[in-house]
Formats: sequence, structure tokens, C-alpha cells
Amino acid sequence: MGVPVDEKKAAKLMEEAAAANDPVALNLMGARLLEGSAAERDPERGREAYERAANLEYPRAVDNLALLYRAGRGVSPDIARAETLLKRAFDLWQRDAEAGDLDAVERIGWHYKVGLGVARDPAQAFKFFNQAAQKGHPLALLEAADCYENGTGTAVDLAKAFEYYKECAASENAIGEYRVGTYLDLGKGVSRDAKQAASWYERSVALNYPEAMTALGLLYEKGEGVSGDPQKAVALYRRAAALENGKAQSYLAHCYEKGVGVPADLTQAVAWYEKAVVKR
Amino acid sequence: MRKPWSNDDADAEVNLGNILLTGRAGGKDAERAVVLYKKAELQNHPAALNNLGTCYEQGIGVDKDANRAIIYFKRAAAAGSADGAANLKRLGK
Repeated sequence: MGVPVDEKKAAKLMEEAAAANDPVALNLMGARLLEGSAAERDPERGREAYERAANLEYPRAVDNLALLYRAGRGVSPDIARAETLLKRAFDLWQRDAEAGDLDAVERIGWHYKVGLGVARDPAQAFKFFNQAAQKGHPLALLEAADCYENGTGTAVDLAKAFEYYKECAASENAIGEYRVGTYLDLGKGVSRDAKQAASWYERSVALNYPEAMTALGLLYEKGEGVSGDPQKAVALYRRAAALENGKAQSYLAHCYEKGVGVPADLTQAVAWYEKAVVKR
Repeated sequence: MRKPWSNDDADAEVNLGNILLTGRAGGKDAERAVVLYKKAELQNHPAALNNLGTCYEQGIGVDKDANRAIIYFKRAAAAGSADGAANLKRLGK
């Protein structure tokens, strides 16, 4: 895929930006050093990068650094320091939100949702998510839709949740597309339409979202909204299973067990069930 | 019994348990089957509850325990297992 060259180039650009004290680049570099491939992992330098970005008052890095201290990842756990940092991040997000930054509005919602640097408050969380959602922020749309779906911080309103998921999907967000698919598939907040569900799943699959592969596979297996095609179902389960989707691993195992879309093979069935059950 | 959307879908545990219980794929392992059913029991999975009833009734993978068997069949029936209801009827409960 020609990846090595591009990755080197990307790494070089990031190093340059980080050297120039660009907080966004420093934060990304921190994330790579902490969560990237084994070859580039270096928790100590990752924390340092977060630290530098945090000192430049970049709230995302302050949050990241706080979570490192909270979990004791690559550093000895320090709950008091984590709490101080979370409060600091919360203040910085408020500063940015006042300047009209929608990411910041969404992040304030997240702080209220989880109770980070501020008391957990679902109603406040919903208020901020909804505020950013109304301005079309994709992640806030997902969060606010989730509130409407589960009645957290607001009354349950599936029609409203569906509307938000659709708006999120319109920005080619794979999760939004998948969620619209599930609402249509299950007839949730909208009348059931498996054919449309399948086409939303297709879009999400095109963005490589494993949940959508599994859901679309099931439609092909059952022949709902699409003409039944067990082999296509198996291919989709296999793709999602390779991306460590537990449900897909279980469904693939079931296909091997029953000989659906693939010759029955109990050894394969057991192997995939084993992968699926360790997920829980 | 394949509900794709809920995260509490414990079919993998039950299906794997069934294979291990019968030894259909070679290697029979009733004890592990019971462990898997008990994992699915946490999700109130109807077939897992019914199968646990059978295991306790017949002493497969666990020590025989008629009272526990009946409790499991009752729970299975309440969770919507037709087999669980049939087992209760068979035992006159």
C-alpha cells in the first residue's frame, strides 16, 4: 500500500509541527506514542507530548493527560492531579465554547455526562450536546440522539433521535449511517423499511464500520430488504470478524455450524465461537 | 433467537456450549459447557437457563440437583423458553 513512505512523511511533518510547539500536533503525537503501533509506542514521550500541549492550554491534551493520571497509564496513578487537570480542561473548554467553538460545547457535554472535573449531570450533558447538535456538530448529534433514545437528561423521543442520526449520517459519518440503518431495520421511531436499512448499512460498510457489516450480513442471510444471499452474508461477517466484531464472529461461527453460505465445518465453528465468547 | 442489535446477545456462549456438551466437534467438555451457559445466564438467555436445568436434572457437568433443575426450568419458561415450559410440564410443576 506504499504506507511506510507516507507514514514516515506524516511522522516527519508531525515532528516538525511539534517542534514548532503546535499544540494540535503535539496532542496527536502523544496519542500515537501512547496508542499507535507497537513500533512507535513510547509512553514516556507520549506523556511529555501531552504535557507540552497541555501547557499551551490545549484542552484536549489536558483531558488526555488527566486520563493518563487517572488510569495510571505510563505514569503512576495520581487521582488528585487528574482531578485538577480535569477541572482545568473544563475551564478551558468553557473559554473556547464562549468563543463559539462547537467542539468545545460538545466536550463540555462529555464532562457533564461522565462527571469529569464537574459533578455528573445528565440534564446538563444533554443541554450542551443538544446545543452543538442543533448547529450540526456530528459527534454532538450522536450524543444527543443517544440521550433521546435512552431518556438520559431528557425525555425519550425516538423520532427526534432518528432525526439527529439522519442529520449526522448526512455528513458521511459511519456511526450515524449505521444508526439510521438500525432504526429503519427495527422500525424504531419510524416505520420499518429493510430495503432502506440495507442501503444505509451499505454506506456505513463503505466506510469500513464493522457493526454495519454484521447488520447488513444478517439482512442478506435472512433475505430482508435485499435478495437472500448467504454467501454474501458470510463474506460480510468474515470482514467484520477480522475487525474483531464479536457479533460477527458469533454469526460466522453459526454459519459454519449450520452450513449456511459455507460448507458446514464444526472445527471452524468452534474456533469462531471461541473468539466471540472471550469478548465478554 | 438471534437478536443482532442488543449487546446482551449471548448466543455464542450457548451455541458453543451446545457443541461442547454433545462433543459434536470432537472433544466433549460438559464442565466448560456449564461454565458457558452460566455466563449466558447473566443475560437471562432462555436456552441457557433451560440447558442448565437439563444439566442439573441429569447431572451433566455438575452434580445432580433436582431442585435447582426446577428453578432453572421455571426461569427459562419465564424468559420465554418453550423447552423450559415443556420441561416443567413433564415434571408436573
